[in-house]
Amino acid sequence: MDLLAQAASGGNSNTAEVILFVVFAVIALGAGIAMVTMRNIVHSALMLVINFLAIAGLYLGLQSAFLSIVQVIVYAGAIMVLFLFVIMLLGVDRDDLLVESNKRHLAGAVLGAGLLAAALLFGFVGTYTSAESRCGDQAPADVLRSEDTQPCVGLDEANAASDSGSVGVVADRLFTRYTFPFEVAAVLLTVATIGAMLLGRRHDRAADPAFEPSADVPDDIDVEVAMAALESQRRAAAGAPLVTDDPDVVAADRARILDDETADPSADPSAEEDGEDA
Amino acid sequence: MHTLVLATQATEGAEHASNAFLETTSGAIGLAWLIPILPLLGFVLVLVTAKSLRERAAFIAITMSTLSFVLAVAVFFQVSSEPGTHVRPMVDFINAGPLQVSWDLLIDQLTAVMLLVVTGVGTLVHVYSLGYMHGDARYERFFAYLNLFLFSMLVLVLGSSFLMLFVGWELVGLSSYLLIGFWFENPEYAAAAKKAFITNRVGDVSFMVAMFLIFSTFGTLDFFTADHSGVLELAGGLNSTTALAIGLLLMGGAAAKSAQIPLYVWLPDAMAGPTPVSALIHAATMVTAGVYLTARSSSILVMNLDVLTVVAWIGVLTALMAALIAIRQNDIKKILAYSTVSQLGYMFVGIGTGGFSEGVFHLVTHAFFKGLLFLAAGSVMHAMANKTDAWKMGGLRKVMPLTFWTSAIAWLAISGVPPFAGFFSKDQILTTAYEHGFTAVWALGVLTAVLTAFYMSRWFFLIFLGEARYGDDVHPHESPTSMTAPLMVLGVLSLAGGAVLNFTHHGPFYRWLEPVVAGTGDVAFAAHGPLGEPALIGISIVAAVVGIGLAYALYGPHRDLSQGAMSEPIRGPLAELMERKFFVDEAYEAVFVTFGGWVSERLAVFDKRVIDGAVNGAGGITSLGARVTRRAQTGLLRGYLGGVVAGTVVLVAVLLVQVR
Amino acid sequence: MPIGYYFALSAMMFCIGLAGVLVRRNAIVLFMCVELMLNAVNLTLAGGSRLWGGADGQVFVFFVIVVAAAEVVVGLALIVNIFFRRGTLDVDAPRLLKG
Repeated sequence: MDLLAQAASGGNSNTAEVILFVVFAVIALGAGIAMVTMRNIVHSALMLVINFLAIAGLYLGLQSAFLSIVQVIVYAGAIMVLFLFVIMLLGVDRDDLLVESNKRHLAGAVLGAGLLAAALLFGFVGTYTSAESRCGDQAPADVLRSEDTQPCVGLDEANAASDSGSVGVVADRLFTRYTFPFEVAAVLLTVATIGAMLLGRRHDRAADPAFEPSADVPDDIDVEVAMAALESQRRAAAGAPLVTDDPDVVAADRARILDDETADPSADPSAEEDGEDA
Repeated sequence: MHTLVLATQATEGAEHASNAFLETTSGAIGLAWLIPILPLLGFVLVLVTAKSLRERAAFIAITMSTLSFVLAVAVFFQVSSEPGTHVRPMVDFINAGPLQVSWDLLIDQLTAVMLLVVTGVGTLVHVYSLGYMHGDARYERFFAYLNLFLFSMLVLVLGSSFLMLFVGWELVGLSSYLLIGFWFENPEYAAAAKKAFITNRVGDVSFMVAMFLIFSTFGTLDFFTADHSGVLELAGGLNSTTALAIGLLLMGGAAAKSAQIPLYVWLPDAMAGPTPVSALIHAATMVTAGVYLTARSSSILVMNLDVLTVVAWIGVLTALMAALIAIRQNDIKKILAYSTVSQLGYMFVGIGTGGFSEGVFHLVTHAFFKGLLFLAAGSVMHAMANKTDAWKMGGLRKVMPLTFWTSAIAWLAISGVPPFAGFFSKDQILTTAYEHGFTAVWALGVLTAVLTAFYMSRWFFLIFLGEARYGDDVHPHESPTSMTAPLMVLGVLSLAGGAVLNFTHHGPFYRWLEPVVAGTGDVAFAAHGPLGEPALIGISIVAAVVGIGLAYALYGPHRDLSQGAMSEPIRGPLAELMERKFFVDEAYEAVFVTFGGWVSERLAVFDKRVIDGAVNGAGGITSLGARVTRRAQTGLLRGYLGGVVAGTVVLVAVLLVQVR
Repeated sequence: MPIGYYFALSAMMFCIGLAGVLVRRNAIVLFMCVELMLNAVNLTLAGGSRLWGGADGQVFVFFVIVVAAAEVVVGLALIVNIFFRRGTLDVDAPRLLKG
């Protein structure tokens, strides 16, 4: 409501911007929340597309027409299509994993994200919400300029000065000051393409036994038990204790290892957690 | 704190012929750094190429040592045309406040002699090993080690400061260890290597303490410096107590390296190494490092007559004791080993009685004839299928003529028969001892000379003369040319080396070393007896003849020695004592091994309880901490990410508080 | 229209994405949440660009999009690979780092 009140007090162009902002902001937030909570991955992806389109609209409001177009083409177009391709390819659109069922984790995650949001909103955003930071219309003359407010400069002048508006402004920077990063970005894309090709190659794994291990290695290796077993194997192979000759020490050592081996699975606290998760 | 006082006094005592200090970077001396570097390069190259070149890698090692020898000859000629203390500046080694040590090379007359001996005998031994080590499983590695040894020994003799000398000193110890234990599969050999290494550590500690004392007294470790403030240039101002301490500590180091009482026990055992090693390291070069050290430090030794006396007595007692033991040994290499100890004793008699150049002279001739004796022994062993029992030999004169004739030269040389090399050097040492008032030392030296001639003749007669006493399973034959050629070269040197180098007492060799070693004009030697030099020479000759005659009577070809060791003519408790080496090894075993072990075991309790307790305790605490903190590692992605988020929240909060 | 509202929106979107990353177990959804966070940051940059009247912010956004594209390509290839090897996209399944 505060926004609307401000919009009402400002000029025409401002009113349009406020309306634009409110509409797209609501869409973006709604789509974002929906994306995170949807059970179906394809739906999630579509929600993300909507979110991206809304952000493209917001870029328009920020006088960045070029970004708006790029956002639609690259993000909503190319990247999201890639996502959908992969989802379809893997056939995982029916997500059985769904949302985290561990209540503690869920609560913790929401709490953490909420805290961060609160900190950001109250900490930094406030500086830019004063009347002075208002872009698109003249700041009221009677508003006192203080040190912790930031006046808005706006891109109108810059865009107007350029022959081709927002595109010209970005191009100007991109090909002068940021030429080198631009080149590097080109290299990065090439590398990424090659990397993706390499990773995506289907290996004939059956023919290459060295490539197989991940299939039969259990995900949940109990490292301590494995190490203890290995150690006792080595001791047995050597036929003698490795470090010391003292029979007392050796006996104590052996007892400890055996103890660990038998006691560990039940004593391991994380094993219980696993049960909870499943 | 003495430095200033010393600097003024140093100039006074310089009426003795002395060298000028020259910084030389031109000519052969400019390239002198290559002399040690080439063998080092050879060591690396041989190890690297051993796989691909196999036995041919040995030729790399031989090339390197030959090149070193050629350079050493060039250096010798440059020193002879420009006499002086040449220092070839190199990069810094240690630059820490007052302690300044550089890799500079010191090249003077003494160094030149040592360079020639080390690279010359070294090259001959390399060539000899071609044939001797043929067929050994680690043939290439042997040559690599030989090159490493050459490098180490050259660092030792080229070092321009006590510390650089010490670096070489330790390096030769290492090479010696590696080569004694070359056949480490045999536990006895490995034990011998360890014994040599550990015994040398005792001397190293003494040497190190000497260095600390030198540094605290003089503020430097350099032998010579451009501003005449080197240790040896300031030594003239030493007070006699400090000189006593430094001198005895240096002698302690030398006693270990050069196998003198009480640290000689390692050398006989060191014969476990291949025979070329015994010839090069344990006869000709490394064991003489102690003699080199004491000769180099002669200006310190002359500051206190007591030091000289101690050195002389250690030397003569070692010489006598080793000679006595050698009389009843049966292993041809053991006899030579004790003979080496004995001859080293002679060198120290030379040093201790103020005859520094005489000591070094004996070092040189000894390198010739003892190197030759060892190589000849190796040749005999080669022929006798590695048997070393002298009683199972005999009559080898006919089958091994070259080895026989060269051995004969060496035998006469070490026995002190003119005009062979050993006669001149040994006689000059004894003459010096007598003339400087060490009459008792001289008398014992003469007695040792008789014994030397005796046991060496016994060695020679048992091996080469008489009837063949070896079994039918051994088929002796002359060794290949690669082995006999070095024998002949050393034979010529043993034959003529002494007469050519120093025919009269103050001959060319004496004058050559005169600028390097300290003058003994200021030393208050006791008055000497009535005998003149001709009489002394006569006594030396008589001693040699008596020794050989006695041996001939007991072991000559006319005697029936077919009963092996049972036909040993010398019997009785004293002979038994000599055969058992005066029970020195047993005494050391009892004192250091048994008793020392008992003490160590008691002390080990502290180590077990306190030190190990602390270490294990630290481990236990860590383990306990890990048991607690490992739960943080859930392996869940969100667990780690949650940490990041929490950290970010805290950071933002802190930032907020600070901004507000 | 104070720019701060854009920032506020951006912060909220960022935290929604963050919550998603923390909560979801499906690797692809996780990835999409990361994209959401990236976009939130992009929005801030574009806002800054307008606030200070310079094009640098927009150029940054441009680069972020480029990097994101590269990242998505490689990331999805990895996901495909992992899926073929393990038969699951559950990020909780591999727990090799568990202490």
